[in-house]
Formats: sequence, structure tokens, C-alpha cells
Amino acid sequence: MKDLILILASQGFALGIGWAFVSLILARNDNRIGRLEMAALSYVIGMGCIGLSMMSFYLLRIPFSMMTFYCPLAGIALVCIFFYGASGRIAPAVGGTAPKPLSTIDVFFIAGIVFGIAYSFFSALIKPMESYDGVGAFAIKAKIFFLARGIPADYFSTIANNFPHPAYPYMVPLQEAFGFMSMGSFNDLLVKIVFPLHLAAFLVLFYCGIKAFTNRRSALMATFLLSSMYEFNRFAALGYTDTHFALYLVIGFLFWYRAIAQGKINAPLVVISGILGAFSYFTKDIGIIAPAAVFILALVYAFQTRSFKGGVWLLFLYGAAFVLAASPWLLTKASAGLTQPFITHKTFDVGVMAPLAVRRVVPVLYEFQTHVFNPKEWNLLWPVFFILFIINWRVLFTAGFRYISIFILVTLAAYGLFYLTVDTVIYGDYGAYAESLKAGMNRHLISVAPLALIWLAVLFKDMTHE
Amino acid sequence: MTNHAPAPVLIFNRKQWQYVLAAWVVMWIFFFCKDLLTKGYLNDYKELLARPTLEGKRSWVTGDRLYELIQLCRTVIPENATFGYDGIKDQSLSDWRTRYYLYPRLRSDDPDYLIVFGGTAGARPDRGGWRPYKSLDRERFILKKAP
Repeated sequence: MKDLILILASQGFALGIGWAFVSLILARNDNRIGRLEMAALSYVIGMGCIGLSMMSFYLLRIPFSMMTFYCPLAGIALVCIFFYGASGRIAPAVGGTAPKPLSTIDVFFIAGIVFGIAYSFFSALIKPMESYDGVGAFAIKAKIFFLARGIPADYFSTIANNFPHPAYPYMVPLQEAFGFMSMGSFNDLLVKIVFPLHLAAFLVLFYCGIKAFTNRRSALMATFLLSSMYEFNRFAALGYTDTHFALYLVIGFLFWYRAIAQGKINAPLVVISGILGAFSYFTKDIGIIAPAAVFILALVYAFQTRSFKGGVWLLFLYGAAFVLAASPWLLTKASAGLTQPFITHKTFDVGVMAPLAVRRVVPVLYEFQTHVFNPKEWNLLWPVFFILFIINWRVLFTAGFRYISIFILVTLAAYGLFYLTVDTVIYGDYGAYAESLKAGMNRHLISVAPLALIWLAVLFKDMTHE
Repeated sequence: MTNHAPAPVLIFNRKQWQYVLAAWVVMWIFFFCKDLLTKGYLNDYKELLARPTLEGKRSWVTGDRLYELIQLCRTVIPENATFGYDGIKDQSLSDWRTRYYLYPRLRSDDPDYLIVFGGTAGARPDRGGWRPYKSLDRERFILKKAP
């Protein structure tokens, strides 16, 4: 019970920290966000900031303790509240006309979403950390940091090499370490609460983000479909990084889209998008998709609006937020000489990679179709999405679809490029390559599925209009 | 000015898409119940709920026999010592779980202690330079490097 109270208090602390930061960012925002969305966003930002702060402590060689960690963060939060409160602006629920009463189908969708969240909590908290990567790649690092009361100064040169993926980003292990330290015990059952909490926040932000440019029914339907997908829900209980990554990538896109959807660029929402993009990069290396996609979207925006200045402003806002938020990880990688093994100099040796990439196309497509036609993992999503996406090729780059279509294509291209060019040293053996495809592709699809649902929500918004 | 953007193609009408949504819901419920019943998830949950303590649950996910051995290792192997295995496959899930629970003890190719879990090291007459240290049974024991 003591551990439960402490872990919940720690998550509440993260929410409070995040609330202060988000309030500061949105203090002069013209687009208000509702309290539920505010709470979800605050939790996500707060936990992300805590992860990055702990990385900063490693750089500054400061051990974690109540005095060195909780108090400074609380102090910074109070300063933010001072400025936010001083501005006199609050982010109340979205104004306008009163919402229509919920229909039977809306209630069904909400019940389905609540069930998905509840089951995620149940399946996460019924057993302690036990999955392969959950234990071997992430929780072990959290344990190391918990026992050492921080990231040891020699961690990257000594201890890290005893366990897999020492150069892998540390967002999730540090959030787990925060949980252990808050409880004061290595309770790898209760620390898993972080994962369903992030799933719940994801679904709330997903709903709110889609509703901002479609309608309530379309947003509820998309959110229900997401929460009811077996693979999406399953990974939220395993202790992997994929739920976190999907959250940062997808919600980051939604905030970016809302930032430009009204015509005038909403700078605070671009900043939030940039921060979430940085979080995605601090969760998985492939999070570099986020700034890469935003770069392309900004070019498209500049072209569409005939505003070069607008495009530059978008890139500057996003880039500044991304770099600032990601700086602890970028500096750590540089100082510790961390390089991930998947992309090396061989990747850019066209003579070596080109024939290998060509040979890999068939196994990649084969593995892909095993997921597309897997109703247990993804229900009907992929056949419905790809058929409609291809049939509607004429509208892909029209208003309403343009940015989400491009984001999906960039994400798919990034994953495709990764599968085709991943370093041959690791995957020179075809058998090992095929195994890694099998293990990895369904996890990568966890971040593509919500994007597909956003696209479908836009497609169906007129049909679902109440 | 006329908007020349083409209209999206939805293939089906509203009613037909409602049937697709209904099919989605049916499949969702079907696969959820199928896993609970045919994959034994329901039994797993019952067993886990019957073990209310953290150690009990850890024992369930690891395997009671292996976890009992790990618990013995935690009490008798010093935290600054290194260990190796006989009977636990390298890079297997049991390997990672054992390393996870035993940390800060680290696994080494030249270990101070050898954890035998159904392996054959103990059966060798000369024990390969190891001497018996602690034991649970004939298949689960710990050897210490002979001086």
C-alpha cells in the first residue's frame, strides 16, 4: 500500500510539473484547451521533463535525492505558475455552444475506450516486469539507476555494456527509475503503472486532437478503434517503449497540425509539438522521423500558403523547441561517444547496400502483409486503410488530407528505409534478419496505426457528422 | 471561385460502413474472449491473483524452480561477485531475468560462481575447477570457483 501511494504521488508530481510548464507555454495561447486534455498533456510533458532532467543530472554529475531532484523541479514549477498566474490567462474548457447529448453509439465508443484503458491497467499491474526487452533492455537500466541513485559517471563505459542496447535512448528506463526512487523500493510491479497511464493520456490527447479538426463522433470512433486494437493495447502492458514513442510522435503531429490549421501559426502549439518530437527521439532513435517529417511539412506549408516567412518561422519554433528539449540526450550521446549499431558507414556504401536492399524488398513486403491480414493484431484497420488510401490518391494532397497523408508517407518511408538498409553486420545472416523483422515490424506499426486512424477520421468526418 | 478538389471516395454508404464497424466490434470481442479462454489467459490471471505478493508474482513469471534458485543466489552470492550459468541458455528470457534479478552481481565469462540449473557441470568428477557452495536439490545448486 505504501508503494502504491508513493507511485501515485510521483505520477501526480509529474502531472503538477507538467501543468506548470504547459500553462507557461500556453499562457498567451488563443486556442484554449480543455481541462481533460490539459491534464493528459501535463502528465505526458511532466514525465518527459523528468526523464530529461534525470539525464541532465548525469551530465552535471548530480546524484538524485529529494533535495537535488524534487525540490528544484518543484521550484521551477512554482516559478512557471507565478508567471502563468501573473498573465491572468487560464485555459478553461473550449467555449462556444453546449455540446450535443451523447447518442447510444457515442456511449458505446466511450465505454469501449474506458474498457480498453481499464484492461491495460489490469494486464500491466497483474504481473511484474517480465517481457524480453521490458526486462533486458529497459527495466534493468532503471534498476541500475535506482540502486546507484542516478546514472553512474562510468555507466556508459562499464556497466552499460553488460546489457543490451547501451546506446538506446533512455526515456523509459529513466521514467521507471523515477518510479523506483519515488517508492524507495525496487517494486517492478507497481512501476508498470507508467505504461497504462501513458496509454490513457494518449487516448485522451488523440481524441481531443482529432476532435479539433473533425467532430466529436469521428474522434470518438477513431479513439475507440485505437483502444480496441489488440496489438496497441498489448504493448502498453509489456514495459516496452512503443506506446511512449507512438504517443510522442502522433500527438506531436496533432499539435503541429492544430498549430497551422487555423491559418495563423499558433506558436505555443508548435513549441509543444517540438517538445514532443524531442521526447520521441529520446525514446527511440527512429524518433528522428519527427523533425524530418516536420521539415517536409513546413516546406509544404510554405508552398501552399505562399509564405516563405511562415515556413521559416514554423521550422525555427519547432527546431528550437526540439533541440532545447533533446539537448540533454544529444550532449550525453556526444560526451559518451554513443552510437547505435543499426546505421553505420556501411549503410551509406551504395555498392554494398543497394543489392542487399533490393534482396530485402520481398521479405519486408512478406512480413508486412502478415500484419495487414492479421485481424487479431490489427482488426480490419490495414485492409480498410490501404484500400481507401490508394483509391483516394486524388485527395491525398488536398486540404484536410495533405499534412496527415504526407506524415504517414514519411513515416512509412522512414521505416521502409530502415528495414532495407539496416547494417549488414548485425543482419548479414538472413535468418537473423527475418527474425528481427518479425519482432520489430508489429511494434513499428503501433506508431503508424494511430496516424492511419487520423486519416480515416478526416475521411469519414462528413459521414459521422451529428 | 469553384473548389475543384475531388470528393473523397468512400466505396460504401453510411449503412454499409456501419456493418463494417459492427464486424470490427464482433472481431474485437471474439479475439479478446478467445485469448482469455483458449490461450489460458484466464487461468494465468487466476493464478496471479492467487499470489498477492510481489515475490509470488515474480516467481510465477520466472518459473518457481528458477526463481527459488535466484532467491538463493541473492542471499549467498556477494553483490560484488560475478556469476555464470550452466543450464540457462545465453540470451534467453531466463538469462535476462536472472541477470535482472541478480544485479548488481554481473554475469561474466570468467565468473566467481557458477549457477547450475539442470546443467551437467555438477556431474563432472573433477567439477572443472569448481567446488560445491550451496544447493537446493540435485539439479539446482551453486558452485564456487576453487582457489
